[in-house]
Amino acid sequence: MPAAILVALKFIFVALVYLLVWRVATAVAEHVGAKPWRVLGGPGTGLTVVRSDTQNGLEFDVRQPIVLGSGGEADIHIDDAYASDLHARLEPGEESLTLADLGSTSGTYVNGKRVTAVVALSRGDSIQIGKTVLEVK
Amino acid sequence: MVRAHGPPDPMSRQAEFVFVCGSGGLAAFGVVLVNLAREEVRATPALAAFVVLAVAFGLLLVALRAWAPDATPLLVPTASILAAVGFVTIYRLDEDLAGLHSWWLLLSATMSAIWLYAVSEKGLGHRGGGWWPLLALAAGLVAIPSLGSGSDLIWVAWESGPALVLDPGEIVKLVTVALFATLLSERQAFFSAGGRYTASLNPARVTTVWPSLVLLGLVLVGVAIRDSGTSMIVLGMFCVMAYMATDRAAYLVGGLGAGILWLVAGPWLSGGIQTRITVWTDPWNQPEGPGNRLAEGLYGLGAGSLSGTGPGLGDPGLIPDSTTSLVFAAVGEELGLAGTVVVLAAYALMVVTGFGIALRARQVFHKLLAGGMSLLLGGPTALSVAGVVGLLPGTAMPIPFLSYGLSLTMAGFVILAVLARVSHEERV
Repeated sequence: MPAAILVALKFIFVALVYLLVWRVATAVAEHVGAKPWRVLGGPGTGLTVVRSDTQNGLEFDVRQPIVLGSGGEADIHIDDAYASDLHARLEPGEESLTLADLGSTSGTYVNGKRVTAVVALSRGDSIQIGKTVLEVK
Repeated sequence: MVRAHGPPDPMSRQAEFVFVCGSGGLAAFGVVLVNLAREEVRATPALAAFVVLAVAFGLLLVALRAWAPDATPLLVPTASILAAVGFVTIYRLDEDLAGLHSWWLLLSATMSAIWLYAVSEKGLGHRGGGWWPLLALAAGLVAIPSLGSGSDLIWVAWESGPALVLDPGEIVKLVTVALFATLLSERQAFFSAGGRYTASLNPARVTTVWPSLVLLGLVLVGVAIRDSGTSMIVLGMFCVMAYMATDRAAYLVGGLGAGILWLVAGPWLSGGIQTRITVWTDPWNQPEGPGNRLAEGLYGLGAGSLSGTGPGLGDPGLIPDSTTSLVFAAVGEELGLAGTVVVLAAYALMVVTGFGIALRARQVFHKLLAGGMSLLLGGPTALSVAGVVGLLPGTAMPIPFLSYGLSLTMAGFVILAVLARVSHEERV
């Protein structure tokens, strides 16, 4: 086997290793940069979906601002035809969670009242987005 | 519970399978290159390399899909690349050893699959009190043979020879991570108080911590005499994990202080350590003695230069322990700086993924377990590379996935399985 071919094959071998590691590296970078979708919370910082066609029982905690909606940009996906892409934002406040509507088409309701400004939430409150109802735990 | 719309899966399960087969192909290609360099054309070894890598890691993927379906898909592909590079290096140095290594890969994958099945029912969970004294006892028992006057860390040796030796050091490391994670998560308050009694601590619970710590100290001293690398890793793991659990920087400072003290006082404590430091300070003047390890490793790396001699075209056989402790030098000789950099990058990716799991985990026990396992991957690799290039005295040690060894390969697969299980349970 001519030495030149062996040298060329050596470079191909190393290049293949780089290619494989590069593929993992891009996947890891994507994963590391992604927002954690569930974070730890105490009483009054968690939500549970109590009425939905497909998401009953879904639980999540809010330790940083998160956006609910049906679009790919939302932190928590709401599987509801009446939900806007970016529907509402939840934020952990000093004392409790706060909720703001993000100009959704169908509106956001807390305990049956349409949200027009930022509202503070407490345990047991129900949030309605389209047909989906979430409860503050 | 329904899975929420989280971050998009960075790699699909199908992509993972394709990737693992790609690593098998890489190993086969490497084996072909080695044989071409020897002017041989043989299809069987290349085919065997492909089958072993694809089956071993494929088995792990099947087990993960069955018993930890939400596990991160980022760990196994990286490990399979490293195992492929390691396999080619071992095959190039010793074909028979590569044959044995194939069996160790398959055995380790089977064992980790069985482990994944065993924990799938109840999960890793928090098993409550009573576990850490048992783990401490296990660590002590495993470490006892290393306290003896034997020349090496041989715990279980079959009659066939040194190829079948189990290294208790690997078991000690795994058991101590589990011990630290359990101890620190259950007795977080004790360690946060720096070992002092506080009003919030029940003295009866505090006193039960001490015997474990004393035993741990004995293990450290015992292992330190025979195997300084393992003792440094165990100590480092404790300090970093205690810092993770308590947020007290004193543990990190203490660990660093102990490391420096070991460097300064080591030569007076043990002849072995003294020799290592002498060799480290002047490797070139001891060509025939124990200095061979460092000097030959450096010669190997130098011969490899930027792009290496090419698989099968160098002389890594001249490097002592080139299939185990100095495997990094053997890789450097045949794949050059280009090869060693990508190998280090792969380890870094695994450690980043592991710590990512630890950071996103909500349970303290899971956090510490994932953090400790990531340290177990990164720590020995960093120390070993530092030892090979002469940054630290004589810390060159076998590294998971790249080096030959049964206990080492098993430990590597166990680390993968534990990290995958934690990421499945935490869904991070």
